[in-house]
Amino acid sequence: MNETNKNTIGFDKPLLSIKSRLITISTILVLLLVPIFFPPREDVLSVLSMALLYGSLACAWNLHALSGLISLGHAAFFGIGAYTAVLSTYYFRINPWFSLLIGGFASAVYGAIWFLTFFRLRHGAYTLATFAAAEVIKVIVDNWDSVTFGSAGIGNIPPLFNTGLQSRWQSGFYLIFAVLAVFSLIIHWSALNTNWGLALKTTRESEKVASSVGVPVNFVRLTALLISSFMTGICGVLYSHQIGYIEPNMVFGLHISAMPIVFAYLGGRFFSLGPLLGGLILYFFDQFAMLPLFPSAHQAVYGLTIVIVLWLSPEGILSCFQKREKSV
Amino acid sequence: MFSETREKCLELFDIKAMRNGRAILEGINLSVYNQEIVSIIGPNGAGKSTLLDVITGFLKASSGKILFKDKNITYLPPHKICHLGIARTFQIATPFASLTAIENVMAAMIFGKNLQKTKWLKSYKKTGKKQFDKAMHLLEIVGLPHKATTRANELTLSEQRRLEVARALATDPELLLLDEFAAGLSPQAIENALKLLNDLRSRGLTLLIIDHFLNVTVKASDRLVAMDKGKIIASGSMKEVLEHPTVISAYLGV
Repeated sequence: MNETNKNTIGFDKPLLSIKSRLITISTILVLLLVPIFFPPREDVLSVLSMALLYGSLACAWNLHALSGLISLGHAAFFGIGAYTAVLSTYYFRINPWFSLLIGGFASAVYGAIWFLTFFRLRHGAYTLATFAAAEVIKVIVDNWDSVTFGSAGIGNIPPLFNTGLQSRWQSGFYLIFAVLAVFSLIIHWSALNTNWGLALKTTRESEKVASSVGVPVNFVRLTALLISSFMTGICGVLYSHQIGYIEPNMVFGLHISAMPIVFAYLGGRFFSLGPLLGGLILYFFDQFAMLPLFPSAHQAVYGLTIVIVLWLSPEGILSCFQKREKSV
Repeated sequence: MFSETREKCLELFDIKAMRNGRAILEGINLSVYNQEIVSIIGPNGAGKSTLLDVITGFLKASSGKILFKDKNITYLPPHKICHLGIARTFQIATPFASLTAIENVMAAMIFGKNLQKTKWLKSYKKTGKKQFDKAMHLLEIVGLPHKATTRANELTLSEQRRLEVARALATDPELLLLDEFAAGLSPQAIENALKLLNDLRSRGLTLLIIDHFLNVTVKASDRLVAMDKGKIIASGSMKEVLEHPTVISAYLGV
Protein backbone atom coordinates (compact mmCIF):
# COMPACT_ATOMS: atom_id res chain seq x y z
CA MET A 1 0.00 0.00 0.00
CA ASN A 2 3.02 2.22 0.31
CA GLU A 3 3.20 3.01 -3.37
CA THR A 4 -0.06 4.93 -3.31
CA ASN A 5 0.05 8.66 -3.70
CA LYS A 6 1.12 10.18 -0.40
CA ASN A 7 -1.34 12.96 -0.83
CA THR A 8 -4.41 10.80 -0.77
CA ILE A 9 -3.29 7.79 1.19
CA GLY A 10 -5.70 6.67 3.82
CA PHE A 11 -8.64 8.21 2.11
CA ASP A 12 -10.73 6.40 -0.44
CA LYS A 13 -8.88 6.44 -3.64
CA PRO A 14 -10.73 8.77 -5.97
CA LEU A 15 -12.58 7.12 -8.80
CA LEU A 16 -10.53 9.06 -11.31
CA SER A 17 -7.04 10.49 -11.46
CA ILE A 18 -6.56 14.23 -11.86
CA LYS A 19 -6.00 13.93 -15.58
CA SER A 20 -9.11 11.87 -16.16
CA ARG A 21 -10.98 14.23 -13.86
CA LEU A 22 -10.16 17.12 -16.16
CA ILE A 23 -11.33 15.01 -19.07
CA THR A 24 -14.56 14.23 -17.22
CA ILE A 25 -15.21 17.88 -16.43
CA SER A 26 -14.59 19.02 -19.98
CA THR A 27 -16.67 16.15 -21.35
CA ILE A 28 -19.58 17.16 -19.15
CA LEU A 29 -19.31 20.78 -20.25
CA VAL A 30 -19.05 19.88 -23.94
CA LEU A 31 -21.96 17.47 -23.69
CA LEU A 32 -24.05 20.14 -22.00
CA LEU A 33 -23.19 22.68 -24.68
CA VAL A 34 -23.81 20.45 -27.70
CA PRO A 35 -27.59 21.03 -27.81
CA ILE A 36 -27.00 24.79 -27.90
CA PHE A 37 -24.89 24.74 -31.01
CA PHE A 38 -26.66 21.82 -32.65
CA PRO A 39 -30.26 22.16 -31.52
CA PRO A 40 -31.96 18.77 -31.57
CA ARG A 41 -35.64 18.16 -32.14
CA GLU A 42 -37.88 20.18 -29.92
CA ASP A 43 -39.15 17.18 -27.97
CA VAL A 44 -35.60 15.96 -27.32
CA LEU A 45 -34.62 19.42 -26.12
CA SER A 46 -37.62 19.65 -23.82
CA VAL A 47 -36.94 16.23 -22.30
CA LEU A 48 -33.29 17.13 -21.93
CA SER A 49 -34.14 20.40 -20.18
CA MET A 50 -36.55 18.74 -17.82
CA ALA A 51 -34.12 15.90 -17.15
CA LEU A 52 -31.46 18.45 -16.17
CA LEU A 53 -33.99 20.18 -13.94
CA TYR A 54 -34.96 16.96 -12.20
CA GLY A 55 -31.31 15.95 -11.97
CA SER A 56 -30.53 19.25 -10.24
CA LEU A 57 -33.50 18.69 -7.98
CA ALA A 58 -32.08 15.30 -7.07
CA CYS A 59 -28.70 16.93 -6.29
CA ALA A 60 -30.44 19.46 -4.06
CA TRP A 61 -32.42 16.75 -2.29
CA ASN A 62 -29.35 14.62 -1.78
CA LEU A 63 -27.46 17.54 -0.27
CA HIS A 64 -29.88 17.43 2.62
CA ALA A 65 -29.96 13.64 2.68
CA LEU A 66 -26.17 13.59 3.00
CA SER A 67 -26.57 15.06 6.47
CA GLY A 68 -28.31 11.82 7.43
CA LEU A 69 -31.95 12.84 7.20
CA ILE A 70 -34.27 11.63 4.46
CA SER A 71 -36.82 14.19 3.39
CA LEU A 72 -40.12 13.30 1.78
CA GLY A 73 -41.24 16.89 1.65
CA HIS A 74 -38.99 18.69 -0.78
CA ALA A 75 -42.06 19.48 -2.84
CA ALA A 76 -42.70 22.15 -0.19
CA PHE A 77 -39.53 23.99 -1.22
CA PHE A 78 -40.23 23.41 -4.89
CA GLY A 79 -43.74 24.78 -4.64
CA ILE A 80 -42.90 27.65 -2.32
CA GLY A 81 -40.16 28.73 -4.71
CA ALA A 82 -42.52 28.54 -7.69
CA TYR A 83 -45.48 30.25 -6.03
CA THR A 84 -43.45 32.98 -4.32
CA ALA A 85 -41.69 33.92 -7.53
CA VAL A 86 -44.77 33.82 -9.71
CA LEU A 87 -46.97 35.69 -7.23
CA SER A 88 -44.34 38.33 -6.51
CA THR A 89 -43.97 38.95 -10.22
CA TYR A 90 -47.74 39.01 -10.61
CA TYR A 91 -48.57 41.31 -7.70
CA PHE A 92 -45.53 43.56 -7.54
CA ARG A 93 -44.26 43.40 -11.13
CA ILE A 94 -40.90 42.24 -9.91
CA ASN A 95 -38.34 41.35 -12.54
CA PRO A 96 -38.50 37.56 -13.04
CA TRP A 97 -34.75 37.23 -12.59
CA PHE A 98 -35.03 38.93 -9.23
CA SER A 99 -38.04 36.87 -8.26
CA LEU A 100 -35.96 33.80 -9.03
CA LEU A 101 -33.82 34.73 -6.04
CA ILE A 102 -36.86 35.66 -3.96
CA GLY A 103 -38.32 32.22 -4.64
CA GLY A 104 -35.08 30.57 -3.57
CA PHE A 105 -34.87 32.61 -0.39
CA ALA A 106 -38.51 31.97 0.49
CA SER A 107 -37.80 28.25 0.28
CA ALA A 108 -34.70 28.65 2.41
CA VAL A 109 -36.80 30.43 5.03
CA TYR A 110 -39.15 27.46 5.08
CA GLY A 111 -36.05 25.27 5.37
CA ALA A 112 -34.99 27.26 8.44
CA ILE A 113 -38.45 26.71 9.92
CA TRP A 114 -38.07 22.97 9.32
CA PHE A 115 -34.78 23.04 11.08
CA LEU A 116 -36.19 24.81 14.11
CA THR A 117 -39.34 22.73 14.40
CA PHE A 118 -37.95 19.29 13.49
CA PHE A 119 -34.84 19.87 15.56
CA ARG A 120 -35.25 16.76 17.67
CA LEU A 121 -36.75 14.43 15.10
CA ARG A 122 -34.72 11.71 13.44
CA HIS A 123 -35.22 8.85 11.01
CA GLY A 124 -38.81 7.85 10.30
CA ALA A 125 -40.35 10.57 12.45
CA TYR A 126 -38.37 13.22 10.58
CA THR A 127 -39.35 11.83 7.18
CA LEU A 128 -42.99 11.75 8.21
CA ALA A 129 -42.78 15.31 9.54
CA THR A 130 -41.29 16.58 6.27
CA PHE A 131 -44.04 14.84 4.33
CA ALA A 132 -46.63 16.49 6.55
CA ALA A 133 -44.91 19.87 6.25
CA ALA A 134 -45.28 19.70 2.47
CA GLU A 135 -48.94 18.75 2.73
CA VAL A 136 -49.66 21.66 5.07
CA ILE A 137 -48.35 24.21 2.58
CA LYS A 138 -50.12 22.46 -0.26
CA VAL A 139 -53.48 22.67 1.46
CA ILE A 140 -52.94 26.33 2.37
CA VAL A 141 -52.06 27.26 -1.20
CA ASP A 142 -54.91 25.12 -2.48
CA ASN A 143 -57.50 26.94 -0.39
CA TRP A 144 -56.28 30.50 -0.10
CA ASP A 145 -58.03 31.40 -3.34
CA SER A 146 -57.90 35.17 -2.92
CA VAL A 147 -54.11 35.21 -2.96
CA THR A 148 -52.92 32.05 -4.64
CA PHE A 149 -55.88 31.44 -7.00
CA GLY A 150 -56.34 28.08 -5.29
CA SER A 151 -56.63 24.86 -7.19
CA ALA A 152 -57.37 26.68 -10.42
CA GLY A 153 -53.68 27.41 -10.61
CA ILE A 154 -51.91 30.24 -12.34
CA GLY A 155 -51.52 30.23 -16.08
CA ASN A 156 -49.78 32.33 -18.68
CA ILE A 157 -46.60 32.63 -16.68
CA PRO A 158 -44.18 34.42 -18.97
CA PRO A 159 -40.86 32.78 -19.73
CA LEU A 160 -37.86 33.97 -17.76
CA PHE A 161 -36.82 36.14 -20.67
CA ASN A 162 -38.43 37.00 -23.95
CA THR A 163 -36.87 35.48 -27.02
CA GLY A 164 -39.50 36.64 -29.44
CA LEU A 165 -40.19 33.03 -30.36
CA GLN A 166 -43.39 31.15 -29.81
CA SER A 167 -41.95 27.92 -28.50
CA ARG A 168 -40.69 27.60 -24.97
CA TRP A 169 -38.46 24.70 -25.87
CA GLN A 170 -35.39 26.24 -27.36
CA SER A 171 -31.70 26.41 -26.71
CA GLY A 172 -31.92 29.74 -24.86
CA PHE A 173 -33.91 28.13 -22.08
CA TYR A 174 -31.92 24.96 -22.32
CA LEU A 175 -28.87 27.02 -21.42
CA ILE A 176 -30.50 28.02 -18.13
CA PHE A 177 -30.99 24.40 -17.19
CA ALA A 178 -27.45 23.56 -18.24
CA VAL A 179 -26.13 26.31 -15.98
CA LEU A 180 -28.39 25.09 -13.17
CA ALA A 181 -27.06 21.57 -13.62
CA VAL A 182 -23.44 22.77 -13.52
CA PHE A 183 -24.11 24.72 -10.32
CA SER A 184 -25.84 21.74 -8.75
CA LEU A 185 -22.95 19.50 -9.71
CA ILE A 186 -20.41 21.84 -8.14
CA ILE A 187 -22.39 22.06 -4.90
CA HIS A 188 -23.02 18.34 -4.86
CA TRP A 189 -19.34 17.67 -5.48
CA SER A 190 -18.37 19.85 -2.57
CA ALA A 191 -20.89 18.11 -0.33
CA LEU A 192 -18.93 14.94 -0.92
CA ASN A 193 -15.34 16.09 -1.14
CA THR A 194 -14.66 19.16 0.95
CA ASN A 195 -14.11 19.41 4.68
CA TRP A 196 -17.74 20.48 4.88
CA GLY A 197 -18.58 17.24 3.13
CA LEU A 198 -16.49 15.31 5.62
CA ALA A 199 -18.42 17.02 8.40
CA LEU A 200 -21.67 15.93 6.72
CA LYS A 201 -20.35 12.40 6.45
CA THR A 202 -19.35 12.17 10.09
CA THR A 203 -22.67 13.73 11.11
CA ARG A 204 -24.68 11.16 9.20
CA GLU A 205 -22.61 8.27 10.54
CA SER A 206 -23.03 9.30 14.15
CA GLU A 207 -24.14 12.66 15.35
CA LYS A 208 -22.93 11.98 18.85
CA VAL A 209 -19.46 10.88 17.86
CA ALA A 210 -19.15 13.68 15.31
CA SER A 211 -19.85 16.32 17.93
CA SER A 212 -17.45 14.62 20.32
CA VAL A 213 -14.62 15.24 17.87
CA GLY A 214 -15.60 18.85 17.34
CA VAL A 215 -17.96 18.79 14.37
CA PRO A 216 -20.65 21.47 14.87
CA VAL A 217 -23.40 19.09 13.81
CA ASN A 218 -26.24 21.58 13.98
CA PHE A 219 -24.39 24.13 11.88
CA VAL A 220 -23.55 21.46 9.32
CA ARG A 221 -27.13 20.22 9.20
CA LEU A 222 -28.52 23.74 8.93
CA THR A 223 -26.21 24.76 6.08
CA ALA A 224 -27.02 21.57 4.19
CA LEU A 225 -30.77 22.12 4.60
CA LEU A 226 -30.59 25.82 3.70
CA ILE A 227 -28.58 25.25 0.53
CA SER A 228 -30.76 22.29 -0.37
CA SER A 229 -34.00 24.22 0.10
CA PHE A 230 -32.65 27.24 -1.75
CA MET A 231 -31.65 25.13 -4.73
CA THR A 232 -34.96 23.28 -4.69
CA GLY A 233 -36.76 26.63 -4.65
CA ILE A 234 -34.76 27.80 -7.66
CA CYS A 235 -35.68 24.57 -9.46
CA GLY A 236 -39.33 25.29 -8.68
CA VAL A 237 -39.14 28.82 -10.10
CA LEU A 238 -37.45 27.68 -13.29
CA TYR A 239 -40.02 24.92 -13.64
CA SER A 240 -42.91 27.37 -13.37
CA HIS A 241 -41.43 29.70 -15.98
CA GLN A 242 -40.71 26.82 -18.30
CA ILE A 243 -44.08 25.09 -18.10
CA GLY A 244 -45.93 28.40 -17.96
CA TYR A 245 -48.60 27.08 -15.63
CA ILE A 246 -48.62 25.99 -12.00
CA GLU A 247 -51.21 24.55 -9.69
CA PRO A 248 -50.82 23.17 -6.17
CA ASN A 249 -50.98 19.52 -7.19
CA MET A 250 -48.26 20.01 -9.75
CA VAL A 251 -45.63 21.72 -7.65
CA PHE A 252 -46.55 20.47 -4.18
CA GLY A 253 -47.41 16.92 -5.25
CA LEU A 254 -45.82 13.87 -3.74
CA HIS A 255 -44.19 13.03 -7.06
CA ILE A 256 -42.02 16.15 -6.77
CA SER A 257 -40.81 14.91 -3.39
CA ALA A 258 -40.37 11.34 -4.53
CA MET A 259 -38.69 11.90 -7.86
CA PRO A 260 -35.40 13.28 -6.53
CA ILE A 261 -35.19 10.34 -4.11
CA VAL A 262 -35.58 7.89 -6.96
CA PHE A 263 -33.04 9.66 -9.16
CA ALA A 264 -30.51 10.09 -6.37
CA TYR A 265 -30.69 6.48 -5.24
CA LEU A 266 -30.66 5.20 -8.79
CA GLY A 267 -27.66 7.21 -9.90
CA GLY A 268 -25.73 6.68 -6.70
CA ARG A 269 -26.13 8.99 -3.75
CA PHE A 270 -22.48 9.03 -2.83
CA PHE A 271 -21.12 9.95 -6.24
CA SER A 272 -20.77 13.54 -7.36
CA LEU A 273 -22.42 12.75 -10.67
CA GLY A 274 -24.91 10.26 -9.26
CA PRO A 275 -28.17 12.17 -8.83
CA LEU A 276 -27.80 14.18 -12.04
CA LEU A 277 -26.96 11.11 -14.06
CA GLY A 278 -29.79 9.20 -12.43
CA GLY A 279 -32.18 11.95 -13.46
CA LEU A 280 -30.89 12.10 -17.02
CA ILE A 281 -30.92 8.36 -17.58
CA LEU A 282 -34.22 7.57 -15.95
CA TYR A 283 -36.14 10.54 -17.31
CA PHE A 284 -34.91 9.90 -20.84
CA PHE A 285 -35.63 6.22 -20.51
CA ASP A 286 -39.10 7.00 -19.27
CA GLN A 287 -39.97 9.56 -21.91
CA PHE A 288 -38.45 7.92 -24.97
CA ALA A 289 -38.61 4.21 -24.21
CA MET A 290 -41.32 3.54 -21.66
CA LEU A 291 -43.91 6.02 -22.78
CA PRO A 292 -43.99 4.98 -26.47
CA LEU A 293 -43.70 1.27 -25.69
CA PHE A 294 -46.13 1.03 -22.81
CA PRO A 295 -48.36 4.08 -23.10
CA SER A 296 -50.80 2.98 -20.45
CA ALA A 297 -48.59 0.96 -18.12
CA HIS A 298 -45.41 2.97 -18.34
CA GLN A 299 -45.40 3.84 -14.69
CA ALA A 300 -45.58 0.20 -13.69
CA VAL A 301 -42.64 -0.60 -15.95
CA TYR A 302 -40.91 2.46 -14.56
CA GLY A 303 -41.35 1.13 -11.05
CA LEU A 304 -40.13 -2.28 -12.11
CA THR A 305 -37.02 -0.75 -13.68
CA ILE A 306 -36.21 1.01 -10.42
CA VAL A 307 -36.62 -2.20 -8.47
CA ILE A 308 -34.39 -4.14 -10.85
CA VAL A 309 -31.65 -1.50 -10.98
CA LEU A 310 -31.57 -1.14 -7.20
CA TRP A 311 -31.58 -4.91 -6.84
CA LEU A 312 -28.59 -5.24 -9.12
CA SER A 313 -26.64 -2.33 -7.66
CA PRO A 314 -28.04 -1.12 -4.34
CA GLU A 315 -25.68 1.82 -4.28
CA GLY A 316 -26.69 3.16 -7.63
CA ILE A 317 -25.70 2.81 -11.25
CA LEU A 318 -22.36 4.52 -10.77
CA SER A 319 -21.24 2.03 -8.14
CA CYS A 320 -20.94 -0.56 -10.91
CA PHE A 321 -17.95 1.38 -12.24
CA GLN A 322 -16.22 1.65 -8.89
CA LYS A 323 -13.30 -0.66 -8.39
CA ARG A 324 -14.22 -3.16 -5.76
CA GLU A 325 -11.85 -3.37 -2.84
CA LYS A 326 -10.42 -6.80 -2.42
CA SER A 327 -10.97 -7.92 1.11
CA VAL A 328 -7.74 -9.44 2.39
CA MET B 1 -1.65 14.66 49.26
CA PHE B 2 0.80 15.83 46.63
CA SER B 3 -1.89 16.43 44.05
CA GLU B 4 -3.41 19.21 46.14
CA THR B 5 -0.57 21.48 45.17
CA ARG B 6 -1.18 20.94 41.49
CA GLU B 7 -3.52 23.01 39.39
CA LYS B 8 -7.07 21.86 39.06
CA CYS B 9 -8.05 20.64 35.62
CA LEU B 10 -11.70 19.83 36.08
CA GLU B 11 -14.06 20.75 38.88
CA LEU B 12 -17.63 19.65 39.35
CA PHE B 13 -19.84 21.45 41.84
CA ASP B 14 -23.00 19.75 43.02
CA ILE B 15 -23.91 18.32 39.62
CA LYS B 16 -27.44 17.02 39.30
CA ALA B 17 -28.73 15.43 36.12
CA MET B 18 -31.89 13.74 34.98
CA ARG B 19 -32.54 11.24 32.25
CA ASN B 20 -36.11 10.56 31.13
CA GLY B 21 -37.41 12.31 34.21
CA ARG B 22 -35.37 10.15 36.54
CA ALA B 23 -32.59 11.64 38.64
CA ILE B 24 -29.36 9.90 37.70
CA LEU B 25 -26.79 12.16 39.33
CA GLU B 26 -27.58 13.61 42.71
CA GLY B 27 -25.02 16.16 43.69
CA ILE B 28 -21.59 15.19 42.37
CA ASN B 29 -18.58 17.13 43.66
CA LEU B 30 -15.31 16.17 42.08
CA SER B 31 -11.95 17.73 41.36
CA VAL B 32 -9.39 16.37 38.96
CA TYR B 33 -5.89 17.78 38.98
CA ASN B 34 -3.57 18.23 36.07
CA GLN B 35 -1.79 15.12 34.89
CA GLU B 36 -3.69 12.96 37.28
CA ILE B 37 -5.23 9.60 36.43
CA VAL B 38 -8.54 9.29 38.19
CA SER B 39 -10.72 6.24 37.90
CA ILE B 40 -14.40 6.17 38.56
CA ILE B 41 -15.63 2.78 39.68
CA GLY B 42 -19.04 1.63 40.61
CA PRO B 43 -21.68 -0.96 39.86
CA ASN B 44 -23.97 -0.84 36.82
CA GLY B 45 -26.35 2.07 36.85
CA ALA B 46 -24.26 4.10 39.27
CA GLY B 47 -24.27 7.04 36.83
CA LYS B 48 -20.68 6.83 35.64
CA SER B 49 -21.38 7.17 31.94
CA THR B 50 -23.98 9.82 32.62
CA LEU B 51 -21.32 11.79 34.44
CA LEU B 52 -19.13 11.70 31.32
CA ASP B 53 -22.10 12.75 29.21
CA VAL B 54 -22.67 15.72 31.49
CA ILE B 55 -19.01 16.77 31.42
CA THR B 56 -18.85 16.57 27.61
CA GLY B 57 -22.14 18.40 27.09
CA PHE B 58 -24.23 15.54 25.73
CA LEU B 59 -26.55 15.78 28.68
CA LYS B 60 -27.25 19.11 30.31
CA ALA B 61 -26.90 19.20 34.05
CA SER B 62 -30.15 20.23 35.71
CA SER B 63 -28.15 22.10 38.30
CA GLY B 64 -24.57 22.59 39.33
CA LYS B 65 -21.47 23.93 37.69
CA ILE B 66 -18.59 22.42 35.74
CA LEU B 67 -15.28 24.25 35.48
CA PHE B 68 -12.57 23.21 33.08
CA LYS B 69 -9.34 25.13 33.61
CA ASP B 70 -11.40 27.73 35.49
CA LYS B 71 -13.76 28.17 32.56
CA ASN B 72 -17.43 27.42 33.02
CA ILE B 73 -18.41 24.74 30.49
CA THR B 74 -21.69 23.66 32.04
CA TYR B 75 -23.93 24.74 29.20
CA LEU B 76 -21.62 24.52 26.22
CA PRO B 77 -22.50 22.21 23.31
CA PRO B 78 -20.33 19.10 22.85
CA HIS B 79 -18.29 20.38 19.93
CA LYS B 80 -17.26 23.53 21.82
CA ILE B 81 -16.22 21.46 24.81
CA CYS B 82 -14.13 19.38 22.44
CA HIS B 83 -12.46 22.52 21.08
CA LEU B 84 -11.59 23.60 24.61
CA GLY B 85 -9.62 20.41 25.07
CA ILE B 86 -11.80 17.65 26.47
CA ALA B 87 -11.97 14.47 24.42
CA ARG B 88 -13.83 11.31 25.18
CA THR B 89 -14.42 7.77 24.04
CA PHE B 90 -17.72 5.97 24.21
CA GLN B 91 -18.81 2.97 26.19
CA ILE B 92 -19.79 1.24 22.98
CA ALA B 93 -17.01 1.81 20.46
CA THR B 94 -18.50 3.83 17.64
CA PRO B 95 -15.98 4.65 14.96
CA PHE B 96 -17.15 6.30 11.76
CA ALA B 97 -17.85 2.95 10.16
CA SER B 98 -17.45 3.84 6.51
CA LEU B 99 -14.20 5.73 7.04
CA THR B 100 -10.86 4.00 7.25
CA ALA B 101 -8.94 4.02 10.51
CA ILE B 102 -6.71 6.88 9.48
CA GLU B 103 -9.65 8.86 8.11
CA ASN B 104 -11.30 8.57 11.49
CA VAL B 105 -8.25 10.11 13.07
CA MET B 106 -7.90 12.77 10.41
CA ALA B 107 -11.53 13.81 10.70
CA ALA B 108 -10.92 14.46 14.38
CA MET B 109 -7.78 16.40 13.53
CA ILE B 110 -9.64 18.59 11.05
CA PHE B 111 -12.59 19.46 13.30
CA GLY B 112 -11.08 19.14 16.74
CA LYS B 113 -9.57 22.59 16.53
CA ASN B 114 -10.80 26.10 16.43
CA LEU B 115 -13.49 26.10 13.76
CA GLN B 116 -12.72 29.60 12.62
CA LYS B 117 -9.58 28.15 11.10
CA THR B 118 -11.42 25.31 9.41
CA LYS B 119 -11.23 25.58 5.66
CA TRP B 120 -14.70 24.30 4.91
CA LEU B 121 -14.26 24.31 1.18
CA LYS B 122 -10.89 22.61 1.03
CA SER B 123 -10.91 19.08 -0.32
CA TYR B 124 -10.53 16.77 2.63
CA LYS B 125 -8.89 14.07 0.62
CA LYS B 126 -5.79 16.15 0.06
CA THR B 127 -3.98 16.04 3.34
CA GLY B 128 -0.55 17.43 3.92
CA LYS B 129 2.37 15.19 4.81
CA LYS B 130 2.53 16.73 8.27
CA GLN B 131 -1.07 15.89 9.08
CA PHE B 132 -0.68 12.43 7.65
CA ASP B 133 2.40 11.76 9.75
CA LYS B 134 0.65 13.00 12.85
CA ALA B 135 -2.32 10.74 12.21
CA MET B 136 -0.01 7.79 11.63
CA HIS B 137 1.82 8.63 14.82
CA LEU B 138 -1.43 8.56 16.76
CA LEU B 139 -2.26 5.19 15.27
CA GLU B 140 1.17 3.99 16.30
CA ILE B 141 0.54 5.14 19.85
CA VAL B 142 -2.51 2.89 20.07
CA GLY B 143 -0.84 0.16 18.07
CA LEU B 144 -2.85 0.28 14.87
CA PRO B 145 -0.47 1.57 12.17
CA HIS B 146 -0.87 -1.61 10.13
CA LYS B 147 -4.64 -1.10 10.00
CA ALA B 148 -4.50 2.50 8.79
CA THR B 149 -6.31 1.87 5.53
CA THR B 150 -8.77 -0.66 6.89
CA ARG B 151 -12.36 0.41 7.16
CA ALA B 152 -13.33 0.98 10.75
CA ASN B 153 -16.23 -1.47 10.61
CA GLU B 154 -13.81 -4.22 9.63
CA LEU B 155 -11.71 -3.76 12.75
CA THR B 156 -12.13 -6.03 15.73
CA LEU B 157 -13.82 -4.69 18.82
CA SER B 158 -10.59 -4.13 20.71
CA GLU B 159 -9.09 -2.40 17.66
CA GLN B 160 -12.15 -0.18 17.45
CA ARG B 161 -11.68 0.77 21.08
CA ARG B 162 -8.07 1.69 20.46
CA LEU B 163 -9.07 3.62 17.38
CA GLU B 164 -11.48 5.58 19.57
CA VAL B 165 -8.57 6.56 21.78
CA ALA B 166 -6.51 7.63 18.77
CA ARG B 167 -9.44 9.65 17.46
CA ALA B 168 -9.93 11.32 20.82
CA LEU B 169 -6.22 12.13 20.99
CA ALA B 170 -6.34 13.64 17.51
CA THR B 171 -8.33 16.58 18.86
CA ASP B 172 -5.32 17.54 21.00
CA PRO B 173 -7.08 17.22 24.35
CA GLU B 174 -5.79 18.20 27.75
CA LEU B 175 -8.33 16.05 29.50
CA LEU B 176 -9.18 12.62 28.17
CA LEU B 177 -12.28 10.80 29.35
CA LEU B 178 -12.24 7.06 28.73
CA ASP B 179 -15.51 5.22 29.10
CA GLU B 180 -15.20 1.50 29.89
CA PHE B 181 -11.76 1.59 28.44
CA ALA B 182 -10.72 -1.89 29.50
CA ALA B 183 -13.96 -3.77 28.95
CA GLY B 184 -13.49 -6.85 26.87
CA LEU B 185 -9.72 -6.60 26.63
CA SER B 186 -7.52 -9.65 26.91
CA PRO B 187 -4.91 -9.74 29.71
CA GLN B 188 -2.18 -8.96 27.18
CA ALA B 189 -4.18 -6.01 25.84
CA ILE B 190 -4.69 -4.76 29.38
CA GLU B 191 -0.92 -4.70 29.90
CA ASN B 192 -0.63 -2.59 26.74
CA ALA B 193 -3.45 -0.37 27.88
CA LEU B 194 -1.72 0.31 31.17
CA LYS B 195 1.42 1.28 29.32
CA LEU B 196 -0.63 3.52 27.09
CA LEU B 197 -2.25 5.31 30.03
CA ASN B 198 1.07 6.08 31.67
CA ASP B 199 2.48 7.11 28.34
CA LEU B 200 -0.39 9.55 27.85
CA ARG B 201 0.06 11.01 31.30
CA SER B 202 3.73 11.63 30.61
CA ARG B 203 2.63 13.58 27.54
CA GLY B 204 0.84 15.97 29.86
CA LEU B 205 -2.68 14.62 29.65
CA THR B 206 -5.10 14.33 32.50
CA LEU B 207 -7.19 11.17 32.44
CA LEU B 208 -10.56 10.33 33.85
CA ILE B 209 -11.34 6.68 33.37
CA ILE B 210 -14.51 4.77 33.93
CA ASP B 211 -14.11 1.16 34.70
CA HIS B 212 -16.75 -1.28 35.67
CA PHE B 213 -14.34 -4.07 36.40
CA LEU B 214 -11.36 -3.18 38.48
CA ASN B 215 -8.70 -4.56 36.19
CA VAL B 216 -7.00 -1.56 34.65
CA THR B 217 -7.98 1.18 36.99
CA VAL B 218 -6.56 -0.34 40.08
CA LYS B 219 -3.07 -0.53 38.66
CA ALA B 220 -2.85 2.72 36.78
CA SER B 221 -4.70 5.36 38.67
CA ASP B 222 -3.56 7.83 41.29
CA ARG B 223 -6.96 8.10 42.78
CA LEU B 224 -10.16 6.12 42.79
CA VAL B 225 -13.64 7.55 43.00
CA ALA B 226 -16.42 5.13 43.82
CA MET B 227 -19.97 5.95 42.74
CA ASP B 228 -23.26 4.36 43.54
CA LYS B 229 -26.81 5.46 42.82
CA GLY B 230 -25.76 8.84 41.49
CA LYS B 231 -23.57 9.79 44.40
CA ILE B 232 -19.90 9.62 45.15
CA ILE B 233 -19.58 7.21 48.05
CA ALA B 234 -15.85 7.15 48.49
CA SER B 235 -12.79 8.82 47.11
CA GLY B 236 -9.10 8.49 47.74
CA SER B 237 -6.26 6.06 47.25
CA MET B 238 -6.89 2.60 45.95
CA LYS B 239 -6.61 0.98 49.34
CA GLU B 240 -8.88 3.48 51.02
CA VAL B 241 -11.63 3.13 48.47
CA LEU B 242 -11.53 -0.61 47.99
CA GLU B 243 -11.67 -1.22 51.70
CA HIS B 244 -14.38 1.32 52.29
CA PRO B 245 -17.41 -0.50 53.75
CA THR B 246 -19.93 1.37 51.58
CA VAL B 247 -18.02 0.43 48.42
CA ILE B 248 -17.87 -3.20 49.39
CA SER B 249 -21.56 -3.29 50.11
CA ALA B 250 -22.35 -1.49 46.83
CA TYR B 251 -20.37 -4.03 44.83
CA LEU B 252 -21.61 -7.04 46.66
CA GLY B 253 -25.12 -5.70 46.90
CA VAL B 254 -25.40 -6.23 50.64
